Amino acid sequence: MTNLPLSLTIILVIIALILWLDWKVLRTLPRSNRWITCSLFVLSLGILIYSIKFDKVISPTAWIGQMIKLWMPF
Amino acid sequence: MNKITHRQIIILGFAYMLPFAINEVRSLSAAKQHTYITYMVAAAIFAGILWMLSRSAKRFPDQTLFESLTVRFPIIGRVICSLYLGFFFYILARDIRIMADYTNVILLPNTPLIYISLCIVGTVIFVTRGGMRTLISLSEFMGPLFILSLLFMLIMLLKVLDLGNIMPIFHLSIPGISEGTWLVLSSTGQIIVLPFIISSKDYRYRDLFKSLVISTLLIVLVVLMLILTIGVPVAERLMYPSYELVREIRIADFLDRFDLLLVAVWYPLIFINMAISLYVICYGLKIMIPSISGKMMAAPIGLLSFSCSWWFFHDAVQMLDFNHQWPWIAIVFEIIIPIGIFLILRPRKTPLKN
Repeated sequence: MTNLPLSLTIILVIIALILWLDWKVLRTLPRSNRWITCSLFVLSLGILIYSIKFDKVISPTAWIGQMIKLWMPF
Repeated sequence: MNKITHRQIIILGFAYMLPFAINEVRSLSAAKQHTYITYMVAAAIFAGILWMLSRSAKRFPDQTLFESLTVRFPIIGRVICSLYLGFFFYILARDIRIMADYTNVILLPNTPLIYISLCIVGTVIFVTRGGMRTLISLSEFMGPLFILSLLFMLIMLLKVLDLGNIMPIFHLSIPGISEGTWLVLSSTGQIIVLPFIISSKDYRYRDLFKSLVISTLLIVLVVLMLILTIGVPVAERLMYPSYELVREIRIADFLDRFDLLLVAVWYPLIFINMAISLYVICYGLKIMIPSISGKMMAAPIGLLSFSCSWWFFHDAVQMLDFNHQWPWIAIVFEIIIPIGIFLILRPRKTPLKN
């Protein structure tokens, strides 16, 4: 079982590190870059928390797989 | 960027098609001793698809397929591009999970999966940020080295090959081969990535074809070694049959872990493969939204793919199970949409005024 607080701390540190290293360049680029970067980081965090914290996770591949199984040729 | 040579394109295609295909030989359980035929059939199909894509790309000189799609059809083209980004994003997330599982089982059994995934993603991000030149240089260095190690493997295994394992060779099971071909379609079809990221002036159809043929021949070589050495009944039950094949090799008394040496050559190629997926996503995003910097997107998209590699799959068993259904989706992106692109992508008769 993955340790959620430790994993989250590590991910947050990594995100902070990336932002710290890239901020100089990001500042010179159009604003959309900063927005997309931050949104993707938040989305990553949300998905990670959802998939680690909850016991019953709805995985998209399991769901799509169930639908496709009806049309399987083999 | 300097001009890409034809040889570099061939190696790039090989680096994107081969590494994961030889790790898990999916069609063994269906096609048995005729598994090698499934890869040849899939290659024959994609030779046609590559021809269509290269013809479509040549209609727009100096542009990649992503560029020509968005220029010719601003809305539908962007929709198709975003679908492809989703497709390559899934491939990236799946590959991260496969490699994390593999590393956990084979190399680092005590390290939690999540930290292995993070290390893999970190490396892939750094390779991708180097851009196309880094990808090409790395694959140009590691690709031939990997081919040489496969040939060396063949020489070392010659004495243990048992031709009885491939018998009856002429008793073809058409349903088995069809099912096997179905299973390997998606991995062979990954070669369609090349026209999407390389400008049409830099390659000829011959280069794409050569890349496909070389990769297929190398996979066939690995499959034949696998069948002749381990045998179908054992190999089809193994999670990583190619790894077990390498473990068969013993070089006298001084090198009994030849597998580690081969993993050391194969592993960087896996990173290059994943970096190509990430590069495609960043490049495609940059083409769709010109104000975005592709290089700056590598880290956020890499981290998102890391999270999704956890979300997409419950465990390795569910991932293997989904491999049977995945060809349906892959066929849409690797066969149906390319045929559609071939049919619709024509230059305007009258150029647009500024």
